[in-house]
Amino acid sequence: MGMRRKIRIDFIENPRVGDYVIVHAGFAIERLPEKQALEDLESWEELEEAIYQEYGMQAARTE
Amino acid sequence: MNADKLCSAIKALPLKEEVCLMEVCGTHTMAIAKSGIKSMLPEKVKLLSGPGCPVCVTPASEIDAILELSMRPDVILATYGDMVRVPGSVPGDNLARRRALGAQVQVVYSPVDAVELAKQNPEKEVVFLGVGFETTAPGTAAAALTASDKGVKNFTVFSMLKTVEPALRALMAMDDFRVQGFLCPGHVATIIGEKGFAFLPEKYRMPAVIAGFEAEDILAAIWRLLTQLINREPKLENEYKRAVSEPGNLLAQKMMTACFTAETTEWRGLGSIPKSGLKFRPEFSALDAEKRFPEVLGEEARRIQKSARITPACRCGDVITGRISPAQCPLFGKRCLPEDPVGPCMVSSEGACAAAYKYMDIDSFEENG
Repeated sequence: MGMRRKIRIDFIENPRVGDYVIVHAGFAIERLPEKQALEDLESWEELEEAIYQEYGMQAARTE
Repeated sequence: MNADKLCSAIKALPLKEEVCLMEVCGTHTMAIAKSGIKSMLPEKVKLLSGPGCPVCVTPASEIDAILELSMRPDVILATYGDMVRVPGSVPGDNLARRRALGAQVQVVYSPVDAVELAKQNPEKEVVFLGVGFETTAPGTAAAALTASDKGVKNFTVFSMLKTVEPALRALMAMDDFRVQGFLCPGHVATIIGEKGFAFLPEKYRMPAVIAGFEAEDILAAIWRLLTQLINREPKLENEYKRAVSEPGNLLAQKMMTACFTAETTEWRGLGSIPKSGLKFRPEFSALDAEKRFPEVLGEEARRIQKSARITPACRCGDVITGRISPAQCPLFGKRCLPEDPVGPCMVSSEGACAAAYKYMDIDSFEENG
């Protein structure tokens, strides 16, 4: 799930490896609490799974 | 709380009259259309899309200037994807068409990529089309300063960046403005903070809720707005606390004010609004495409073009100010389609018309006759 990208962290105070951040147009704009980030990721995975069930692999990839 | 429970809670509210609420964020427009929230709400609750989609608020005169600039053989335009199909004042004329005619137009994901493009093409002038609000402005500034620091001299930004507050003030000053509460954009608020929207209840007694982007976030915000209205207690509430603090992102704010100054700028549908456009400070004029290409992008040049243009029947301006819904535009779904858009609201996936068309419900078909 997801993608790998180089982003800039100019706007995050004391960034650390393992931080979860919200990214907008190539820049991290805010740090997200880990618990929240994991919940969000989980709900996206559920969504992906649901799309996969309904439309098959092709649609899940393009969505 | 889940979506079903929130919907029941909203339906249970004692609403006497019709209520119009407005969101002012392209991502909200899409999320609302996609999740079918409008159809889940009681009939009395109307949701409108305001001026929150960056390309939708860009006036035709600026697009015309961009199209002209694109034809210069020494220029590469770097842009977010949704700008490519926005027509100027001539229907059908857009960057995609100009590209077919030989213009060099590159879609980038970030202004940082545009700086890279300039590095790779030292013999060309790379102009980044800077659209967006406070969410994109700090990154645009940071990328431009990087270009300057690294001695990349062939990179400039055409800044069409805008700020949300002056536009909301202009909206509320319209005689026929009928909105009774704002769903405030979560990611703009991430940057400017809760305090950036405090003027709504304080100065205008306007209910305001900062909202996230899941269906539940939006429904919860709607419930809060309606509750405020019923209790006649307008205030600012933050429904997106996980990403929005009271002061906002100070580093990003600092970058924005270091680089830009607020000037009068034109908005589609709203006209000229004082202090609503972010333009480069004089000390950064080397990064300013308006200064590099004054004969095309300069204010004077655009004024001349504007006076020469013909206005088509497109009513995007009325759509983004909440005067009409997309389906009430005579072109919607007929002459103006996502494949062949007349106005910017049908181009961008964040545009109210494109979202309404893509997720069109029976009501819109009926309204449209």
